[in-house]
Amino acid sequence: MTEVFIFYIFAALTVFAGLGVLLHPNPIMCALHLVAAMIGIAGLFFNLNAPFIAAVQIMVYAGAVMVLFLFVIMIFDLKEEGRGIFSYGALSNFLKILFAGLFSGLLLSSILFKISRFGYLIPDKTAPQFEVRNLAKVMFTDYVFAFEVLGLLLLVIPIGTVALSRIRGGTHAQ
Amino acid sequence: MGASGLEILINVVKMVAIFLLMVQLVPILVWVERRGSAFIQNRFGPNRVGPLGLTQLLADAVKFLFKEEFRPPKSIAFLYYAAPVVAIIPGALAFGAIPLSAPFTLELGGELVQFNFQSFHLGIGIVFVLGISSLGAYALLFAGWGSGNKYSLMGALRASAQMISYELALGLSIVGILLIYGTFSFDEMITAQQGPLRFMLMGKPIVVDFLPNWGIFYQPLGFILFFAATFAETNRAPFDLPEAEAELVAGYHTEYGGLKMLMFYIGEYGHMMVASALLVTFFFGGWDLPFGSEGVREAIGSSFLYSLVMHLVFMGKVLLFLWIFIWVRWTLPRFRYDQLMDLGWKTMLPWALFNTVATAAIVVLFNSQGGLS
Repeated sequence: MTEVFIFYIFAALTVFAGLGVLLHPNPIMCALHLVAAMIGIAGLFFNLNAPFIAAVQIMVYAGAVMVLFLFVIMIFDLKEEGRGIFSYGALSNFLKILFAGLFSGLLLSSILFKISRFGYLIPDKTAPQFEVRNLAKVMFTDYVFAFEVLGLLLLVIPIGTVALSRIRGGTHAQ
Repeated sequence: MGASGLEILINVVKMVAIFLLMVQLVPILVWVERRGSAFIQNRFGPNRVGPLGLTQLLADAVKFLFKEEFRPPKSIAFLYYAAPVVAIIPGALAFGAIPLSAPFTLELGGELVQFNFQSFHLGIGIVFVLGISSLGAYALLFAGWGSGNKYSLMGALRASAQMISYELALGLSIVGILLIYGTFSFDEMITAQQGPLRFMLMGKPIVVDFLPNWGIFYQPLGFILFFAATFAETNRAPFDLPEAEAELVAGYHTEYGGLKMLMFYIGEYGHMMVASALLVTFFFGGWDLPFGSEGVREAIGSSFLYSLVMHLVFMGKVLLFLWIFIWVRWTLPRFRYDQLMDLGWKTMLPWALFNTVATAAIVVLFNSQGGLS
């Protein structure tokens, strides 16, 4: 009973915050709504007996990534950015709706596929208590290749960023 | 998580108690900070109201409560009022997950029930505490953006850049300690630090009788890095760039006064307490006495009283670190901003990476997990 109650609280928080991300006119407020959505998702993970993923969700997304987002948004000249080529016009709107539709379709089909194969996604009461040890074992033995490839991908991003900013003359460019 | 109503009620009561403990420590710390800074700077400090100026705090509290409540006309109301609240909550939640003393057992209705001396027990305590306390950055961002003031905004920008930079060093500096103890749980970590210093070297057990089995002897570099990074995370001098009064008036809390200002103070001291408690738990044996813990347990007998005594030991260690926080603030000058970034990215991050790799190599090569062997 408590699980259901807690689920509805966090689900409502996530949904309303998600709507806020899309509908609020101020980009800073959008980013703050996204933080609330992240915290809501972390709460849902806690409720599903996955405390490690919940805590990492808070630490990485809410604590680090979104702080960086806010930092960048505060530095940008938002009026200038609003005049960018992909911010208005029929072509831009068409592309936005197209990609949003594709992404929603992908998400929906994967959820429907999961439900049709595994039944509804409810927490398994009989499952053993979650342990970080087991997660680490799976991640560093069975999926070690995928893990390393992801690490390499993340390494490419900072190198690319530094290279791009150096082409333009670095921090002292006029 | 399958908790019964009674369990939830007990946890809520404990949460409130620990929150009150945190809030009640703040006036004492403010007094220590004022008298301590005066002592360091060869002044008297507040010494007129009550003995040693102790009741100055009451006068301050009354002043904070009765100040006129106002809001700058160009501020964003929700963010402006949310910021002081957000400043308190992460610190309180994180402090609640740290074990403040030994668990004790009580007889409830003919059954022996074990109570943890913390508001909620989590197997992944360390990740949770680091994650929650990193949310404290939002208080500064809310205040900076919501005040509608350029000085505040500059403070918020500095705060966010600083938090991101030092979070990396902070996270990496404790990977060494995690490798050595092989756990995310505070309780297991404290258990591993009990008794005299002992470890396996080249397959031979080595025992040093006169030293406790504390993390600092395994991770001295990790301790220095973690200690320095906590100063940056709590926005204390010499890392208090977000409120550098010489450049930014008061930084992110320029537009705050009265009780809202006080809440920022409580948040800052709360984060200091969390940082001190983490330092004590990781590197100084948590609530455990280095020697004679068993003797104390036998002498006292009652499990509950033993917990209380150990809680005093823990708070003693925490207060020692809080005093060091204050001492450093009134001793070292503030960094320049580029020096701050250089220290974070070019000095602390490489050393933290080195510490991680070196610890991992030693643990694998010599198979010498401290405490667990």
